[in-house]
Amino acid sequence: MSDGPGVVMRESGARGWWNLRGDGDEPRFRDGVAAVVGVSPPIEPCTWHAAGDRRAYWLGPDEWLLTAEHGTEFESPLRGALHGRCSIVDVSGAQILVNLSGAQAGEVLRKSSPYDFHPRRFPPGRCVQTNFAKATALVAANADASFDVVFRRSYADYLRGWIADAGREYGFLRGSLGTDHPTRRQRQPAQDDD
Amino acid sequence: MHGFAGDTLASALLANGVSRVATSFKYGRPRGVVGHGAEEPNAIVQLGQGGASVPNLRATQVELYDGLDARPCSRSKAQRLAGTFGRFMPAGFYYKTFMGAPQRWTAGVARPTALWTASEHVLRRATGLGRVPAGNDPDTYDRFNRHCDVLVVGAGPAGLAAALEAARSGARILIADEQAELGGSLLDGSYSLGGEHASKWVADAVAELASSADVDLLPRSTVAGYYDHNFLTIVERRTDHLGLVAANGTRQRLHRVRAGQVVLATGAIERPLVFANNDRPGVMMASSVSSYLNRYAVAVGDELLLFTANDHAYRTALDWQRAGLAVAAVVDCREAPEGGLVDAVRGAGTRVITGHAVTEASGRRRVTGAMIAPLGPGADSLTAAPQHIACDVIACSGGWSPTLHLSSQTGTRPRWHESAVAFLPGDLGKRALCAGAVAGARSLRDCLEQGALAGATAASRAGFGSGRTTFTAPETDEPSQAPSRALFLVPHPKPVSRAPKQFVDFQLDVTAADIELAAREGYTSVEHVKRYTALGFGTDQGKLGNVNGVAILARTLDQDIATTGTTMFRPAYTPVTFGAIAGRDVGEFHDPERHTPMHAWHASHGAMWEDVGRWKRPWYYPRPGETMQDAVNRECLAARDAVAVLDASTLGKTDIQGTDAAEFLDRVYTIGFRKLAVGRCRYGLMLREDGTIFDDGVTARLAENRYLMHTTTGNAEAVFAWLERWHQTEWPELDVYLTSVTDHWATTALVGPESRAVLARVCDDIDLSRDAFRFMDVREGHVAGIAARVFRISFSGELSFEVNVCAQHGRQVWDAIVEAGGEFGITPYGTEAMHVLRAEKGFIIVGQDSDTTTTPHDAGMDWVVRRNKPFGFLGDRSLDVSDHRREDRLQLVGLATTDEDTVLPEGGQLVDKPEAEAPVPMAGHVTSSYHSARLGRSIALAMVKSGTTRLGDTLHCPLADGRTVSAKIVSPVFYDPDGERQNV
Repeated sequence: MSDGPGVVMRESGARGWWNLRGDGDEPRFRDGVAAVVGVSPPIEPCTWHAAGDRRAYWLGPDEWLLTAEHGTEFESPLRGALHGRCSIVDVSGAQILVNLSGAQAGEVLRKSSPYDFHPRRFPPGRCVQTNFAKATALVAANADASFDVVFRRSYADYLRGWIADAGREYGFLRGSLGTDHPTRRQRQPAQDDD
Repeated sequence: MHGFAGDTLASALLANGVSRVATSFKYGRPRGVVGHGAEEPNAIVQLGQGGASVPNLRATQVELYDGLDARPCSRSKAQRLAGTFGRFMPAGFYYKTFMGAPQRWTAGVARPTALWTASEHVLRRATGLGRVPAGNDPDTYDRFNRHCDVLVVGAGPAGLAAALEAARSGARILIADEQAELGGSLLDGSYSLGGEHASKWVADAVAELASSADVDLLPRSTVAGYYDHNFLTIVERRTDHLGLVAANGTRQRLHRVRAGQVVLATGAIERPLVFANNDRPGVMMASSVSSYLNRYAVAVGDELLLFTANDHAYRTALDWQRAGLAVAAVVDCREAPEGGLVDAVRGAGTRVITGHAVTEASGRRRVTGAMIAPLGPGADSLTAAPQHIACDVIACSGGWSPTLHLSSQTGTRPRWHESAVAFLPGDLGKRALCAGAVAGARSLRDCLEQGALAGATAASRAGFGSGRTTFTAPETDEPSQAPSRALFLVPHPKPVSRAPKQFVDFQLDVTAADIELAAREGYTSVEHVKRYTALGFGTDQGKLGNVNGVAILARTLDQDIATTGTTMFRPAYTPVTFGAIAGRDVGEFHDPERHTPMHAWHASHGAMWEDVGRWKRPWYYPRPGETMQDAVNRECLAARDAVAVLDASTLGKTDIQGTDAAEFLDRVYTIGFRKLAVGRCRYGLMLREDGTIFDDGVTARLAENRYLMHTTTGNAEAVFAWLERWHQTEWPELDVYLTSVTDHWATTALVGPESRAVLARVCDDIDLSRDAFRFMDVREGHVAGIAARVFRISFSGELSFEVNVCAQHGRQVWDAIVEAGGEFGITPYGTEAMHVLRAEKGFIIVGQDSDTTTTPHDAGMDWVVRRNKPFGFLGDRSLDVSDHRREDRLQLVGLATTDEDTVLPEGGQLVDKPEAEAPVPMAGHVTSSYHSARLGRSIALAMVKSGTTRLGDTLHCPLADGRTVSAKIVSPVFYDPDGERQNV
């Protein structure tokens, strides 16, 4: 632990988030989503796709979570592209994304969730909705071995405190992410460990 | 007292000559250390004082640290066991107070009696041998989830071999052992492996495992529970060996392990022999005597007598001799033992007395000798009178009992094996294996080879390696062993009932006579005998005594042990601290608090909080000097006379889309939504299948195929699950999608005659006029520059606008509205004022005014029920059951107290004739009750039998203090009965 914090939590600024429902088996649906969002909705369970700032997380056989830079408008274009054969709901206000990096980020997940986050089972590109402490969260594995954790806004105060507490023994640092990319590495002035 | 680093509390006590460590629970007899591990029944201690105090620890498993403070847990005569341990080095030991105030026994329990039976209160005393710590535990505990391909339980020779083999396959391995060091029995004995001391092999094995990828070693970690689907719990003691309170970090960690495969290498526990006065301090397990000698350099006495039924225990005589101590004799119950170890002992000149048994231990406070006599062929009689041999230690070995607690926890019944003279684990199926002594292996070589094979097999089953082992066991120096003799209860010249006590379970003072008595009284099931005698009920779960108890019962019932069977074990293997179970779910993390985007504003404006579900909602905002009633009055009057503002973000919100959205809503609500115009809202009641009220709220039609449903705050999750259940399991054909948007929207409710004026200051793109934006309309526009959805709905009866914006901007919009309302005296109000306002209007709160028996008719809400829908709705048919049509059902009414200043208690019972003879027939009960500032009087809602036909009647509410409050039944709508105020 002498060479820096074992766990760093960086919180994303405001982003656009949408819950998308529809029939992923229909090529027209997938193509329509890809055309508007720039990312095709993953069909393989518990995976996510990304293109630049935009991401599509698999939540269920007919459900995805989309995210894009703040101010993006997906609702009307998607409705048009999919000819109304979908449900698209703006949930930007409901989501908080934090990125957990550092050598012991996985330990914080193991303290928080019963899911198996070992790289063999949860390599980059996978995501899962699971229990997280006494709340729920979407956890996604990134290519840089960090994890993105997305949870409901009303639980954010509880979960920020939980994660800080879980990370404390490894050396914990809290920072923030740029507002337009979930895992951009640019460092903002770090705040103190609470 | 002083000890050495590496000592346990037990080894240190023995080294200091402390032979008496406890006083027995029932008979008050002196007791000494018997074992050297988890099996120890006597040396049960409580460490420390105050909140950090820990009860029910085995001194044999407590690692010594500087300043350790311990006392016996036994309650009969609590004795201060030890003072304080000084520095470890240099050794120089003083023994402090060993006396304490005797505790009082309750009469009848303390009196030794052969007819004592285990009544419930006695059992309670027995199971709670420690004292509850006083005060909060200062330590931190946590939980850790783990996954592995192979979990190896126990790091003795079998476990280490299993872990080595499994790790070489590339599988993810976790190996846990309760001891501070890995090595298991190899730490206790004088074994050699590959021509070197076994510790070398252990060190090499541990080093290889530690350097392997994906292998985790957990020493000081007890696998406490083995549950379904290979879920196991491990309690890791991270700082217990350093001091009573962790200097920093987590004291104990509960690992919750999901294992692909489990290898149980839990070893075996040496079995005592049951003879008269076998509880005297100085009677110990043979392997424990060796362990103290070999591992801790502690001789537990001067002159040893070994009493054995097997070859293995001869090692103890050899160890003792090697240490230069005197062996009085080896008493072997077998007629003609032969084997390498026997020869070695004989070769050393030790007297070996065969065909004999120890019938009784002499000495009171400590063993001074043993009575020995020749055994008859059936081991149920003596063929000559006992002779005395002087000694101060009697080391016993009746054989080895596999540690099958964990296998037994899975529900697998152990099976008796006559040849092994032991219960062995039953079939564990395809996801677990046993290896080593727990599986009946008797030699070190067998343990190693079984372990390696189990490790390879487990890894292969988990998808790693071929299952073939490349392991070659290092050479061992073990001579061959002759069979053991099955000896449990040693005969005595007197019958069992008259002989000195022959203890089976030391912790709970259960004797052979108790078990015979149980059988005589007609208890034939081993489970019943356990409960009758308390055999195995202690915190040690009968680790030493169980098999002997079963064998004695079998003999008494004249049946074999296999028929008698054994009791089962349940988690935990050894007691687990509550702290480890709770983990970090304490204090601020005990239950999550959900916060709205405006939470910080409420906090900084002095809000008192009400918990609604997991939400923190402002209850009221007292100003300096105000009582709660003052604040609520002020908040209510502001809403009625000027303008007030409420954070309504917590309401459950569900976005409903799809071509069948209207059909879906028609099925779950009592009212219809098909004809609702876009941009309009409608109030709905949701019923359970039985026709009772489940939830209520306003639903808006946002587009042709899109609705937004509001639910009550506390019911939001339950309603969402209910909707999904009906959609997914019963009506999957409906094209409808449900999305929870509760957290997305921040809702500011602007209430009162001035609310339009305030909103107009921050919203210029919605026509707010009375006719353009009617009651029950929804409009989209911008508030304070933020895209907003504004509902003209009301839970207060006043003109009201609910402004919804994306939660990212919730605080900003709230601030803007509060600022805009400044000149109108805008007043924030909380849930209490909200409740008063709605009660003045007779609006129910589901779950407060209604309960799970209330129908819409009972609540006076037939106006919201449409019985003519084509599909019907959930609960529709049940409205016709005869009980729901009874006329004397509880019905919603208002109550106006005769004395306007008296507020009825919510929940108060209502009667017609308070002076009637008890039991007084109940007329109903008060569901909501407040002082109304606007009306200047007390108001209440109540459920009253036939209430709607009894307007004008007077009811009485008897109070707990003897007073009776009378109240007239009135309409539940106290204020603005025509609803004109919201239509301005």
